[in-house]
Amino acid sequence: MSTLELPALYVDSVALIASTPRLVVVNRDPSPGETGVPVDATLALELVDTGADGVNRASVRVWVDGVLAFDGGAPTEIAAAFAGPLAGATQTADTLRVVLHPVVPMASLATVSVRVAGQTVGGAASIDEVYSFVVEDRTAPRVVGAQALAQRTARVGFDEPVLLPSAASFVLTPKSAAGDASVRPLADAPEAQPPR
Amino acid sequence: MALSAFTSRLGRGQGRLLTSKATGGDYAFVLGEDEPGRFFELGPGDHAEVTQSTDLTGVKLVRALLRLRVPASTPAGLAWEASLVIDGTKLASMRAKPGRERLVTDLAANVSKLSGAHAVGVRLELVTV
Repeated sequence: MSTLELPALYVDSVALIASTPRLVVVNRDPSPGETGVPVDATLALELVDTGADGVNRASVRVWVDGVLAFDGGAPTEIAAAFAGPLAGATQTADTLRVVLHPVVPMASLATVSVRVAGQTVGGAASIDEVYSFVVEDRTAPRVVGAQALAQRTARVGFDEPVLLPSAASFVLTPKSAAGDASVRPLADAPEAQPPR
Repeated sequence: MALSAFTSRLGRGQGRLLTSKATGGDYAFVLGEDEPGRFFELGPGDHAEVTQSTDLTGVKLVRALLRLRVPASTPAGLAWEASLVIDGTKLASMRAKPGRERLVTDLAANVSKLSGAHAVGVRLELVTV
């Protein structure tokens, strides 16, 4: 037992779907359109045959940003770039679950496109679907300018909106005898101006 | 009814609530706690769930629209998992990393081979990773 803070799970809706294409892609993680996806996230999805035949594993292909990441039935199904330790593929009677684990973290703020194609056994149904998600912003804000407003006051501009913790501020320190200066964050510097 | 971590604030931070976190309307059913900063003694396997007996005859999929917020203080080795459960069995699940909030739009359970009445539910569970 541990002392833990409770999370929150908001259940908006639970829906019964009676009419759906025979072969569907579900449980996509990240979800289609999701934002703020961690750069080191795995990419999971499930192909489900809601009929009786099952998924033809050899027909399934998954591309990530146009790169073939999963080639069902191939000697090496998962491409090396997506074969991290959490990668794998498992199949049951009517479901094929594919987990891709990029070896290299995804780029900050990248919009990642995933294309899934496959068929049921016997070819009665097929799917070719594309979805995308957006990776979190892991690029630090850059200082684009600093203007002296008074002897010990400067306004600093960044290339994107930033949040300044209440206890933090900035101080200007001389960088060289020629008068260059660098800006570094420092707590308890009361004269600093908040960023825009 | 004995109160637990998951039932001690029904109607205030738990259960059906008017909340800005609701995506499809004004209300959402909250498992866990809407208000951050409430701590309890918990261990792996502890869970809360809401279920309903449902006739799944002719139903292909059960889909859920969820939002999961996981406290940043969740220790390594533990995770909070949201899942769709049918008759107590998890058929689909997702997690969020500590300190993150996720809107999950694609959680679905394949029930195409089931018929008759089954207990359909959503569960929030503390799991080991």
